[in-house]
Amino acid sequence: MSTPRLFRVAVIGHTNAGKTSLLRTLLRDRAFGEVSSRPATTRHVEATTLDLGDGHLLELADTPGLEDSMGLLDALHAADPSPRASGAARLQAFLDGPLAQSSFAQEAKALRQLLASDLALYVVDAREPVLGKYRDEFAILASSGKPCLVVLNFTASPRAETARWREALHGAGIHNVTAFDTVVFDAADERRLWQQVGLLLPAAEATCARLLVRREQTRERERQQAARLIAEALVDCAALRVAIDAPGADLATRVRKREAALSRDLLALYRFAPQDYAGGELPLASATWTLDPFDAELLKELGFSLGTSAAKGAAAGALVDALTAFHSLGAATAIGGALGAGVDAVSRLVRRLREGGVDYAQIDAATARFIARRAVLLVRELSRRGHAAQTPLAARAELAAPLAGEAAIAKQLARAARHPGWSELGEDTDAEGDRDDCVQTLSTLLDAALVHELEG
Amino acid sequence: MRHRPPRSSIRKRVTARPTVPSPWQTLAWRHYEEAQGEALRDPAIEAAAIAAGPDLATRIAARARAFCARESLDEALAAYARHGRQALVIAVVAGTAIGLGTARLIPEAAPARANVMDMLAALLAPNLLALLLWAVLQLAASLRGGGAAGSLLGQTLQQGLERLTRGLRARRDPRARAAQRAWFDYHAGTMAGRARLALLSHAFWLALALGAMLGCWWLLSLRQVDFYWGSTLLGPEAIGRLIEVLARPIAALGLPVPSATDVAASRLDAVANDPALRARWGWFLLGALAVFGVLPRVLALALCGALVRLGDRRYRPDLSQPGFFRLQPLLMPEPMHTRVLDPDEGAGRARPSVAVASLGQPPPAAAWVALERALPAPREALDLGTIVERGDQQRLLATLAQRPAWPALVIHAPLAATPDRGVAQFVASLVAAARCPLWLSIAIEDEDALPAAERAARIEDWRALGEKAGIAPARIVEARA
Repeated sequence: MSTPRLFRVAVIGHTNAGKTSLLRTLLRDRAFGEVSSRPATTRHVEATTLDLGDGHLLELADTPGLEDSMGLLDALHAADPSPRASGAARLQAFLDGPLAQSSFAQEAKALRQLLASDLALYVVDAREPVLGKYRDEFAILASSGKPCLVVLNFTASPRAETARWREALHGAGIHNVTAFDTVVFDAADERRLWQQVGLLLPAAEATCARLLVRREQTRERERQQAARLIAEALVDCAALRVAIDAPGADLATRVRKREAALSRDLLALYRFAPQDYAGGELPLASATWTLDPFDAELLKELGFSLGTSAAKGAAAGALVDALTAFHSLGAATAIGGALGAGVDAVSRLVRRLREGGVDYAQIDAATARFIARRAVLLVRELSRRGHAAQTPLAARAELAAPLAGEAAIAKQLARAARHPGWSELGEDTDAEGDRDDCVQTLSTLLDAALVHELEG
Repeated sequence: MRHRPPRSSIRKRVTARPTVPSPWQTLAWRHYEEAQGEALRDPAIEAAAIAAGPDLATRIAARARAFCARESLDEALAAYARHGRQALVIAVVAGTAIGLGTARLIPEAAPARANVMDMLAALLAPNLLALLLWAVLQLAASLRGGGAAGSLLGQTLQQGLERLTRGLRARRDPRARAAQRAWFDYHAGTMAGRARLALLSHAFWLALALGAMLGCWWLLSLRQVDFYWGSTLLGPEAIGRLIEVLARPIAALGLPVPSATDVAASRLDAVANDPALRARWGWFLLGALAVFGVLPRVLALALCGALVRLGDRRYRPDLSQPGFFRLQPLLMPEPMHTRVLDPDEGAGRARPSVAVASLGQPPPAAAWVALERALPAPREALDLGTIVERGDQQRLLATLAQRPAWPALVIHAPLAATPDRGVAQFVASLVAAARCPLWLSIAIEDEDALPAAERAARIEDWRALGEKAGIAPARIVEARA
């Protein structure tokens, strides 16, 4: 294991290039700093620390934007006009001079941090044309003597001029360039970024690789947790049965509330806030609940239940037989078995009679599938959203494309619909049957659907 | 509005000893909250829960304890706990009664004779078989990761209670509903819950064994019974060895037990009118009930008691369940690791307010220069091109130094460009160098490129830049494509 150390990285760039946005997305923290499209939003140097494991720490410092780079380059040359002066010495001379405290105080903060760092991430808004002021910034960075990785931001925008920027940077002798859109997140871009950081900071290469592994594991964990959250909500909604005439029993309100809670949970899972999603109202259709006595799955469950009750009764009878030293010749076992099955059947019948005449509303299969599709798509969008994004995601009102493995998902939803006691939202408390098994099966199916969506 | 209790009372609720098992309380509160659709917030309870321990499970339990007390969920839970105690009493009473009834296997008629092997089988076999079944079920449950309800009796009781409590009370009251759901979760889904149900079953069998022992002792004290054994297949040696093995732990208790000679003398067809032999067989029977009936159940009870305590202490909620998942950000807030390394001395400075939009227009034959992006100039105007590089800036300033006869110079600023200090510096130098009126035209090329609020802010920033550079507010205009 290498000696633990702190790696300092300064995030530098022109004002409004997305430096704070880069940190928000890399840190998965939408509350870091302040993001706006106005210039000079960040006016101080703010740092945060990432634990890379094995005691290695990575300090990422957000700096105020460079605004007047042409003036700054002139000021640097004026600070130490000697043609033999090194770039770093010239920067230091500028920082010690009066301009660093007055006209160029904002740029001085960024340069001071650059000199104190092991690596600079130079952020570029790829939607911008390659202007002279940016070329001056390249020159200043190149003269600092610090390793520098150029991060092309907003590359997913149709206005991005990524190729032109790469060409200009290569022309200026800067070859460490990577694309990373802070609004439209791409895991592959993030992987490349950290790999390049590792290459530029050889001492941190192994730990950067570990960070990448950890990020991958986190992504997988988040996806599985998302599948579980969706599965729980689907069982709650699909199983919910509300007596139509019962006072205060509103199926639509309860289902909508549950779907909204699911959206909030998914947003929290991906470290977003409720305002990141403009959840539209769920288009709901409800159906009067009817029991098909010849439904194959229902008959299978009924048979299993009666068989289990008979077995339990028989086991109890066997104990009685044993108490008589088996002089009863197994009669108690037979009677117990018959009684077990009989009690099960009679209790079902009594329940049906007690509920006789009451109509129930339940969401239909299409609505349950719609909730599943919308939630899966929300996860897909959240996993591709950068934490710097400012525009809220819009909820889908129409979803035509089925999910991968939707038939199997629908089968589990139909299973849940037969067990009103499985819903946390309803009045039924019947814990009969195996809700956990249904949730588990649904989670696995939804996870597969999510993998398909995320990789597709 | 709900009356908010003082902080000290909340701390007391959080740290109070729970009236029902803590995991059960935690599960009940989860069900209650899940039915509400969201986690209830109370900063005082959250702070007290965070102070209760470093790990999330402890904090969740402390929070549930405080909320259960505040929202009267404890009363519903206590009702279930009371039912549990009642079930225990019923199990003990029923076990004792059956045990006493079993003792009636001791024959009454004189001369009374009893087959000792039959007696042992009738008094001990059900108990031992049930114990074996329980152990197998526990093993199966632990192999498949829990889920079995501990014993047949426990499972039957669970389902019986489920059917009984499916009534109206639980339907009407969300607290009772949450308590009931949690009861099932706790007893079917946790090690402590399963052990608790098993306690009920072991208490029943222990009472039965004690009742049988007491009844046998009473009847053997009052009746004279000759014990015998008989076998078609087994000889006296085999039976003697069996009795010897069974008698060894009984003898260790200091009770008299039959010897090999006694076994031989007690064969079905032997006649031995020996009171001491009868007593030895009687004590052997009572000893067998104590060692093979009472003792295993006492041990099982102790084991289950320990499992209950251990399980309750080690209970960790399934944090992937929505109800617990929602609590993570509330109870495990991530500490802010950010720090300011180089503060802004001018913090808090306000952006300058700017005048409202001008409706004027620059003269048609004015000279137009675009900033940073190529923008089309009006047809009659003189198009000076786009300022991209340092050289472009210097060329324009040199041209201005020659005092061209332009009716006006219009700086065409694209809305997409950021009005930074470098641009402001250049505009200010144009204002200083120009001998003709200067206009700033803010070109709004694509209305949808920026959200409305950002668009308005950007226009405001360009206006501020122009005014600060010395351009009259009336000469700052917006031009839409």
